[in-house]
Amino acid sequence: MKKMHGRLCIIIGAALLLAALSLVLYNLNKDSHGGKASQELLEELRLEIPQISTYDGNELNNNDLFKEYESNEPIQDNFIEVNGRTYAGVIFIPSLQLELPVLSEWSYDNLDISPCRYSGSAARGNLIIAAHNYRSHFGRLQELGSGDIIIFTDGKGIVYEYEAVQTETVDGRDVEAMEFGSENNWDLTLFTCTLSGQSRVTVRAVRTNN
Amino acid sequence: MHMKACRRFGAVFGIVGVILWLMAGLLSVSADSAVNSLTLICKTEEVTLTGMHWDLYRVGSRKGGNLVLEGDFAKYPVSLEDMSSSAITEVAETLENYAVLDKIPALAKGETGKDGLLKFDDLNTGLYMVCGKNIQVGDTIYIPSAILVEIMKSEDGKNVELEAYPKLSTKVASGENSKYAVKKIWENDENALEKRAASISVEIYGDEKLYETVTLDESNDWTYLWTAESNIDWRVKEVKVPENYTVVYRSNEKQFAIVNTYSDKTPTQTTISTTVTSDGSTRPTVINTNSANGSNVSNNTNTKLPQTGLLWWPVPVMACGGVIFITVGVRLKSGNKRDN
Repeated sequence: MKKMHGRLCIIIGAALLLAALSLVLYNLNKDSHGGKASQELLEELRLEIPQISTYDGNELNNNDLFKEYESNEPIQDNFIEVNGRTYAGVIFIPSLQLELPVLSEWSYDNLDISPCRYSGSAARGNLIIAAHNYRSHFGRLQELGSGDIIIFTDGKGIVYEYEAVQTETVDGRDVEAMEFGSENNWDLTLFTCTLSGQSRVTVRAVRTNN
Repeated sequence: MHMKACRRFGAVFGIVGVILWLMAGLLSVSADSAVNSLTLICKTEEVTLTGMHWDLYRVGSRKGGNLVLEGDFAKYPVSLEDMSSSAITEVAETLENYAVLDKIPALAKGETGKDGLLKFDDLNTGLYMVCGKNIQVGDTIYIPSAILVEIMKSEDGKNVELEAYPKLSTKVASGENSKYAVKKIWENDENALEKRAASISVEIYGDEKLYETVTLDESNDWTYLWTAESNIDWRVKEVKVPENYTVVYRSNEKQFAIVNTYSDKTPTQTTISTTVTSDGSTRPTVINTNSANGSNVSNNTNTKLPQTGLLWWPVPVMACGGVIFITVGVRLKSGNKRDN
């Protein structure tokens, strides 16, 4: 009887180990697939985002003819469509050596292959980007420290530079805290799941260029 | 004697008044025959501009109390509704652009003499434009602004001899390259965005020769930049102005604005009786969304943040459980052997 119980325990234990191993392999495969997919999208996107040549109106000693029309221009989210997918732009985090496309709308299918815009826009100064915690996506987000540079380039090639200010953990159900922050109106927010999946590692950043 | 002095004083006062009006940028002139004249005075305190070339065009006339473009200029979508001083300057610059780039024959032409003066005679009633060409004196290039002049029918039968001081801006002749920009501006169409063209073609001219044709659209922020020699006289022209839009060209040293203003009526008349001014593969599709605050959360769940984590937590649980079960199983088996 004991022998039978012992055999049963070993079988259950082996099954559990096998299940754990399978899950690890599945996660690693998803991570790898997500990383590859986002890099392929990035290559496509890089070819299509225009290289904006900066034109400094200050060269004209405050006689900038275009300046007076700027207030008439509606603020626009400059998305770009490439091969049937709509992108908000590209995010580059030098300290993590991470460059990724950002899809304009989030869905679980989209998150599998790329970070996604959760809400807001760079032009309005309230962009929130979500991504999976793959190591190839935002898995190392908690490594970002205060002062680290984050660069976002929108679909028109307009470059927004940010500086990370703080990292916090937001409850997975606290949408309001994510969107509006605790104290400040953040220009950029990045978030991904913690390992437990219950909370979100959240990096807040402010814009440093105009 | 006293009467003569009064007349002289009156004449001098009248001429000075005309000049002051011209310098202020706005004047009404009346005349009734083709002996009216316009004299351009191209000199400043520092320099007298000799040999500056000017072209005179008849661009319109008054019909039913309203100014309308006529002749070669009638086809251009340029509005004469707003005849404020700044608007007149813009209209003059726009019509000058068309006259130069479309090579419209001038009614008369001439160059300033040694005294910096140029006189156009025999002018009938109507709206005239005079456009000058750049001239270099030493290291300085003098750039004249176009002038619009209306000569109206005289009430007292007297002819008028107008004098105008064109606005002259300057730049240093360096021969170096400069960076230029042309930008398309849309105005007054916030409620009719569908009327905007998806793109427009713009011709860039250097010294009146076509330099290149470029396309402006959302993908380039309706802006094009080019770097070229600064001594060249640069101009831009929108190839086809969208229907129901009027056009105004504005420029400074390095920037050119093509302003298209939406209007659902044909804008060719003015009801203001002002008359003279001397002021002078496939391309990617860029999608613009204009939500009120940009906070349009891009999916439909607002009660919970998206699940962005891989399922890692069961791994240690299952691994530990597995190890425990195996350990227990091995013990049970080994215990069973000892019992036997």
